[in-house]
Amino acid sequence: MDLISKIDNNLQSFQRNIDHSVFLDTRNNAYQKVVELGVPHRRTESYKYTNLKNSLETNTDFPLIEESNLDTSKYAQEGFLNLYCVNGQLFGNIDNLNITKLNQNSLEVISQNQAGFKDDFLYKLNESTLNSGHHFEFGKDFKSDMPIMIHNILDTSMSGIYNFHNTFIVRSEAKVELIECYYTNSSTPTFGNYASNCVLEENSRFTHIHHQDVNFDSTFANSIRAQVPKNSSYESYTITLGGKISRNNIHIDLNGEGANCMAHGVYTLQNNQHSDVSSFINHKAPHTESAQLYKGIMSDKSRGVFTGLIKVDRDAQLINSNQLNKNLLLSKGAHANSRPQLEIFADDVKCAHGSTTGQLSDDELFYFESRGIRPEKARMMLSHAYTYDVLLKIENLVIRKYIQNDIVEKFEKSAFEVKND
Amino acid sequence: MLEVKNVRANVAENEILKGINFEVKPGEVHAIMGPNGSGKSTLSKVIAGHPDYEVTGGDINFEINGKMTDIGEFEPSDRAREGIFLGFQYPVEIPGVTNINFMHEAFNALCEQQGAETMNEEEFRSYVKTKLPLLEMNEAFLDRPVNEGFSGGEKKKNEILQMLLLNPRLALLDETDSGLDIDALKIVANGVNTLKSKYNAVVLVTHYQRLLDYIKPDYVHVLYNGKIIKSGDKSLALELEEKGYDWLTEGLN
Repeated sequence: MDLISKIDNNLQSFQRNIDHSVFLDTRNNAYQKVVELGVPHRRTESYKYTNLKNSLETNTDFPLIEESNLDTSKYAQEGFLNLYCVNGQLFGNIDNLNITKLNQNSLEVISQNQAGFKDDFLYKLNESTLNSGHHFEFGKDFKSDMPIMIHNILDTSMSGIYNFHNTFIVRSEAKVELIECYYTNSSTPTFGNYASNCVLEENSRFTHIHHQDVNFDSTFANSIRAQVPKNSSYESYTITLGGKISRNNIHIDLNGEGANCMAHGVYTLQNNQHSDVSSFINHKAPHTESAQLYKGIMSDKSRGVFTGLIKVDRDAQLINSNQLNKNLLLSKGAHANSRPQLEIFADDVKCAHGSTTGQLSDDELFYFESRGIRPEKARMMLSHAYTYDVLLKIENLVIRKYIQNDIVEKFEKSAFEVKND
Repeated sequence: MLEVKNVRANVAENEILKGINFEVKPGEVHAIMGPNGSGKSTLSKVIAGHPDYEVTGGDINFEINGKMTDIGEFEPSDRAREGIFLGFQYPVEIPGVTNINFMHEAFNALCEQQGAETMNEEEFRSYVKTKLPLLEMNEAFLDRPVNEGFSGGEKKKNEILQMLLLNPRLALLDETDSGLDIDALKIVANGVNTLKSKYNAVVLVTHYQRLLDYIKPDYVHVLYNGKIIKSGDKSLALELEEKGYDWLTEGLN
């Protein structure tokens, strides 16, 4: 049996085992699409550099989610309002934030976002299993002293595709700072296929960070969607530390005057890790702004892929948009693929995009060494500075510090084998 | 403390140094002068161990623990840890690494080498602050990225600041005077004079005798076409200022 038929069979049996009939149509439509699209391959333009075949062969099942007795306290982070989502079950609550299981309201968010990812295999696969996940509603004027951290933990010993779908509504005048962390609590290879669907109201601001640190045998995918109306701002950050294969789909629509977005990211890869970021920003209204900065550091035989498309609609005059992808290769076996793209249909716009790929400069390294700093330490400091550039854009210092430390722990210490002295 | 013996060196297959000999003793100041392209900068980089320069002959010996040691195979960071400092002609800009962080790392590397106690961030900052007035630098410099957006003069002062913090036994200063106005030149010279003691030595690579008005050299060497063609005392620098290099280089090549 070929791969897509296996997936098809398992998907159908999964669908028979779940309820939530309110999602039935959505699931069925998506299912049709999955079968029609088939597993992406090298000639699938948006997956040109990312081969999902091995991941899907290891993870053809759609296991029903087990309950977990995991002690979440070890994940708690000081300085954050901690929420835990273990195998799709959520613990914790926050004032003026209404969290419910996926429901009719989520469906409205999802349908508003239908246009995005309509031909994306992973997103449609997620929709075709739509069942597990939550609906977050940040009330009007929402504000919190501390940023929110959701620990998304997959605690299982069964390989397979695990789909989770969250929907977010950010009411007017709300200001949300949210970091979502993704972990696996075992070394079991899994395929976590997440979707985050966001709808903002006017005059709101949503900083939404995805910090991925799943085990090195697992595959991770996240489809992030946002609708940004007049005078609102959506800031997306995707940080990729773990995973064998990682795919971030980002699609942001700027729908009203004064809407703006940032979409930034860092991927630090080692061994055979593979990360793929695919971003699509659509300027649909005049006087909208977008900025993107994605930086990758690749060591060993890892590969970083970036595809970014900025689309400016005909009526979206006087917009300002920039996009930059920079890659640092630390070894001969490391690769970067970068495809910055523009599609502009308006005539009075300011758009800039670019891409660089390079190595650490010998002059910089010699400068460090001439001061007695060891080459490995120098490389580490330079690489640290490379990603810090992106983190500086995160306004909240607690979040910035958390991510920075995690990059040091999970990447820099092993990539550079620096002993503490 | 330093013996350069018949050193030859290539850059990208071109021979730049064609047999250099000189010797530096503790407490001495040497000036290396010469026209453009004579190999002055190459010489200082070769002593500091820059990887782009291939030493094809001769020896560089440096006194380590009282013994002259061939440092030809030493990594640049090892040379620095043994007390050799190179002040760059064009200090490198390092975006993202703060000046204080950079200097702190270097300082602790040296402490570690010497078996001295390292300093924590706070202690180090207080220590650095004691050196700032001498160079007329303010504290804000410490928190800016290394050399990024610094003016030419600020970059050179920053080199001297690093030198003072690391307190090297041998300071090689590669055209530290270039691009400085007269006030900055005095400040930089003052910094170098502060370092000077009977235990350490300074090698100044310079185009102009102007710097030597403020830092008095014991020896002046004229480098031409990869060789030292004349050595003398301070009066040689004055003579060069007056007559240029032609009277020395005529008939050579």
